[in-house]
Amino acid sequence: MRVALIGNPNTGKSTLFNALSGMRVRTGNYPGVTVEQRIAKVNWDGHAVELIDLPGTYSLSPKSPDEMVAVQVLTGCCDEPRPDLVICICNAAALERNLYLATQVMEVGLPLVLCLNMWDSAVSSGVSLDVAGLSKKLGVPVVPTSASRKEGLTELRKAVVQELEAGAGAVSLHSDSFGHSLLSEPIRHEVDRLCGWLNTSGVPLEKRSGFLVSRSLLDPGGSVESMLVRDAGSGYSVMLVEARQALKDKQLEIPAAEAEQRYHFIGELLSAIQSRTVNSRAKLTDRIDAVLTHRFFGFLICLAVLLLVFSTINWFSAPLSEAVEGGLGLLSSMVSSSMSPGPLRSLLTEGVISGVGSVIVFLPQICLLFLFIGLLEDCGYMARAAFMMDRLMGVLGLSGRSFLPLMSSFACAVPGIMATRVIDDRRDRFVTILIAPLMSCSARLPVYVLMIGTFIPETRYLGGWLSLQAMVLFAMSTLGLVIAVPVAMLLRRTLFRGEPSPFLLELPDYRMPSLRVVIGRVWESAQSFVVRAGTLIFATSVLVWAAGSFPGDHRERFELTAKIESLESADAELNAEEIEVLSTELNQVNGQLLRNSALGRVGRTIEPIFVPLGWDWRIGVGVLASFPAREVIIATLGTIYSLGGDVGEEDEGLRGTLKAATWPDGSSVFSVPVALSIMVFFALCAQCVSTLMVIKRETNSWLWPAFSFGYMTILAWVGAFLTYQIGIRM
Amino acid sequence: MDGAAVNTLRLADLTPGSSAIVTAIGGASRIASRLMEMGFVPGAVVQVLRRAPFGGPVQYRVHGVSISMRSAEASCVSVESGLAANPANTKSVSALELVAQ
Repeated sequence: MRVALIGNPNTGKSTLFNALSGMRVRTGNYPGVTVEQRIAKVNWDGHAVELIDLPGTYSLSPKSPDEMVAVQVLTGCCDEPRPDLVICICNAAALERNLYLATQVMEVGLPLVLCLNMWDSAVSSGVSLDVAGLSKKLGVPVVPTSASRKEGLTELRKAVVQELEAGAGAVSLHSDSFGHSLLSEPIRHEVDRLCGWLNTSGVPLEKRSGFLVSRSLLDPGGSVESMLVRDAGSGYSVMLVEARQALKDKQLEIPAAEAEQRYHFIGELLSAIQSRTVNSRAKLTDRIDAVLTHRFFGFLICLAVLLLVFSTINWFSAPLSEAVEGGLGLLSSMVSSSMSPGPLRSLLTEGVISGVGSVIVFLPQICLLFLFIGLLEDCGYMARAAFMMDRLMGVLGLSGRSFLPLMSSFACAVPGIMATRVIDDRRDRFVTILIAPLMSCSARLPVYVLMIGTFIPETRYLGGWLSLQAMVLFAMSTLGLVIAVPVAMLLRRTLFRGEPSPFLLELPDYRMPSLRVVIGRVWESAQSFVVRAGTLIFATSVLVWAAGSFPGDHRERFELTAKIESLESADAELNAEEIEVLSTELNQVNGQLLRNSALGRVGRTIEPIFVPLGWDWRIGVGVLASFPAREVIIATLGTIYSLGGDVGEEDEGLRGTLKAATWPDGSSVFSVPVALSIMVFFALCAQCVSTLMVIKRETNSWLWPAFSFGYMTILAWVGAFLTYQIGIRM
Repeated sequence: MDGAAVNTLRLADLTPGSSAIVTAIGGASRIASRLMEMGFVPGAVVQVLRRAPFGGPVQYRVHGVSISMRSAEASCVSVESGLAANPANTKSVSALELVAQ
């Protein structure tokens, strides 16, 4: 049995889906956050039910590919079987608007259960509704729920099971109830006529249901019209024009007639069964909005919120990361003391622990970032940010609608690019996709935190409230955004020229974010980050360790290490002099080994490319190795520099290693300009295979991932070059 | 603009704090149908809430839902100003109660 969930954005649909399925799905207040179709398998009273979460939509008049998904699934026009039942979710506090979609879904011809979600807040905001009356008038089961409190779910499940049992097998591919549409007789008559014409056209049965034909008639220029004209030929196009003209002659203008008739029906329906006293929630929202979306203060607050998010990440993550780092150091020395020097110990401490470990160190930052994004989305602020930023996005030739995909790209460009499906304008969407990878994703954060923590002084201003480190972090996190401005302007004026697209955005009423939902999302992202750290990054660490170790004869190195360790364990103070001599020798041997390894040879060959950026060949190799996934750089640097034997004696961990790294002439490799140049390179480079793959999928062409990769790599090199060259002259 | 349009008040002409009743929706069908399905249908009462920074979009409330749009979209909505609603129009009355609060 297949059950599809459909509803407007901001109805708590994803939360309900989570609650029904027990599966964690990203949810939020922003229109269109659920862009992917999600499926969960559940068992309800012995029925194996497949739950399908459809993208949030305001109507079944699709104008974007995202909205078309819903129509295709409901009508069985895609390759999958048609659902056996639809649950239509409405926001009980805004039923007038939400029932619009419900009246369209009723015409699809599938058994329907109407779910009035957010019932608790509707009741507390003064709505009182005769649920039984609504059910009777519409002829479908109606169940009030409060998904965020898990209330009403049992009743909803029961209603669904009851409907499934009653209607089992009744739904066929072409079952169709458009005949019972609330739309007026002349419209239904034209739909019948069009259906008759299509019967002889050779269009497959599932595509000429009364419902789909009505959509093609009532939504001029929409995706359904295009689909049918494609299948039936241009003759159908002529038929549609004639039918619309016939209706116009009867004072029924398309598309106005549909909206008027539906809202009229809903108005009459609700006037009999719904009463509102005071809409306290709307009032509260307006009062909050008076401050948060104020023309002047609102904008400052928005900037302050962003700065606060980045500052807090910086404040909280430092001690947490240090704790993790300490633990890893302990683990590494435990392994060292229990094994004698050899290839396996080298693999474990220098490949595995330092590789995967130095990525896990950054888990606190990633959790915090997703926590903030989740909170902002869930309370309704994200949509406000889009509203306030629309004028600024207009400078880029984009709309506020691009703000969420770009904002999400601050966490990860992959979901960000997928979220561009809600942008119905093709040009806006492509430009957004192409600049999304410039946003500072969470995988860049480890690089910034490492470089800033190691090389940027802990200077504080304004009585300790503003630290230089936090400011650099903020600057690096916004650099991509700043660079994206001219890039987008250029793209909008060259490859994607055209009129600005319409902007209509719902600003959902504020609500307390559900901590359960937000924590679930944090958990999900942390988990996927660790899984990536455990597979892709682990593999890369070991590969880089191997490339940095072989070919080479390590016997001398292991002998020296063993000698030093036995001297240390005997009496470190007494043998200090001898240990130092041996250590210097060991460092030279290590350096020689790395230079002559596969990695070292490649690195030295291409070193001239990196010298103008202030990098030695080891940084260059690290950057090369991190082109598949940028977070690998931490692991790679850790592996390369610990193999290189530059481990400082006082400092522990990667930070100490980097500080101790030197050029062959003995001068320090890393300085503030070098650290900045590395960060700028990472800020601007497309070092992420997953992102490029998603661009390929979303644009359905190899051209655009190649374009993104090319322009960003050039941008990154130029940016890093300028940073270093200006930096050393200051 | 044709002669009839001169006297027509548009949603985009209203200042924050005022409210009006929708009389007609014009403009390209793509924008018009999106406006209508979001509740801007003849008879609906629209409250103008506030304008975004830098002369950005304006926030409206219609059917109890807050929706923002730019002046380009708001120009497609013809309105009649004030609260002189036709008492026979139940939708307007129920929505008016909202505005009155």
